[in-house]
Amino acid sequence: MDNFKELSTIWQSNLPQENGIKVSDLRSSGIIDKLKKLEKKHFRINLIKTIAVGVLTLFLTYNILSLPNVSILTKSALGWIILSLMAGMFFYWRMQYNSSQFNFLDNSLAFIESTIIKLNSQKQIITRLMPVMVISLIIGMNAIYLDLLQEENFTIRISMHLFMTSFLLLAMYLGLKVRKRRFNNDFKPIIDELDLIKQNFKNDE
Amino acid sequence: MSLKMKVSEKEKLFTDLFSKNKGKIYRLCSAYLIDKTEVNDLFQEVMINVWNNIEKFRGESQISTWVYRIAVNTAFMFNKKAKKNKELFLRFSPDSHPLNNKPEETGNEPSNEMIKILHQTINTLANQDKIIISLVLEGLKYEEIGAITGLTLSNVGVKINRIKSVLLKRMKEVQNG
Repeated sequence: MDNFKELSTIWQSNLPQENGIKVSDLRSSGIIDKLKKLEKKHFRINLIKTIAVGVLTLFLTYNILSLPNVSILTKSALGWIILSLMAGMFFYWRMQYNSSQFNFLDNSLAFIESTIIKLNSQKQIITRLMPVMVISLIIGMNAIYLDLLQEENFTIRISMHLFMTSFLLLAMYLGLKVRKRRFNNDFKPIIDELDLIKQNFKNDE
Repeated sequence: MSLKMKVSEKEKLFTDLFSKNKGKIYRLCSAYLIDKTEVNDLFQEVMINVWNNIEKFRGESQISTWVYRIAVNTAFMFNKKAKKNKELFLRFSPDSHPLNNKPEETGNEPSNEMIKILHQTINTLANQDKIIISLVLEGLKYEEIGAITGLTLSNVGVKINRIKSVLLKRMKEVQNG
């Protein structure tokens, strides 16, 4: 089989048309409708998340403001925690969204390069966002403890602060570990594969 | 007309794209993967990405180049283990898979065995080589392959020559047992 044209003919004769999907099937089986639904689904999910955050923020703010016999310090600390969590969630979703928008219309080399960058940015969610959120939470919680434990003796106050801070740091450590494992399972293999393809693409240059 | 493509126009363009390119795209998928279920999943992923990006088609490149770019990039990103969208498209029946496809015999068609050997040999190539050779087998010009892959014209030429010689050598080996 020296003639490559012959191979090309064989290849192109290999048509999965007759028993495969027919254009008429696109409508009759509702494929188009399903495609539309799938497209709307992602939009709906983001909309629901945004509304949920908005409602939660309003609900919590109202409840904090209407708390009886609570000092300004506690109210401010609660407000700080809520704001930090909301901001954290906003940035998390934005980072997730940006890193999942792949430009399939680029040529392969450009696509591979931008995709590797986007997939690697998933790491930033782990290494940057989570620590910032936990530190904000630690500051807020310590401020609340400072206010609530005024009546307690020094040892109890220090122990409570230390316990709560270590608990949050431990939670962060475990969270980082889980996220790292997920990154290694879900994204690392694709990044490695794309890296390999990129290197091979450039090999014959 | 609004900036956003009308739904009916989108459907029409998609249907048109589908009818003109389904065979080519399916062959590209079957060059990239060997397992029938995975080929069908990849084909489905390509079609979903075509649908999602159809409004971005500006006519700056040929529509076939545009579709091939989506198909090739989707193949590179394809994760066999990932949970797939529900079967959106009808499954190709097993008989329609290239390895099982039996064209009506008129005397001029290549044997089913040859198609099988060709597929098996392509499957031994590296991922990016599978894609490039399937584009060559579809009869695409070097310029088109360059536009799809982002490789320079000279690089496309060097690669194709190398892949062709490997493919032919391996096919000979398979044929000679």
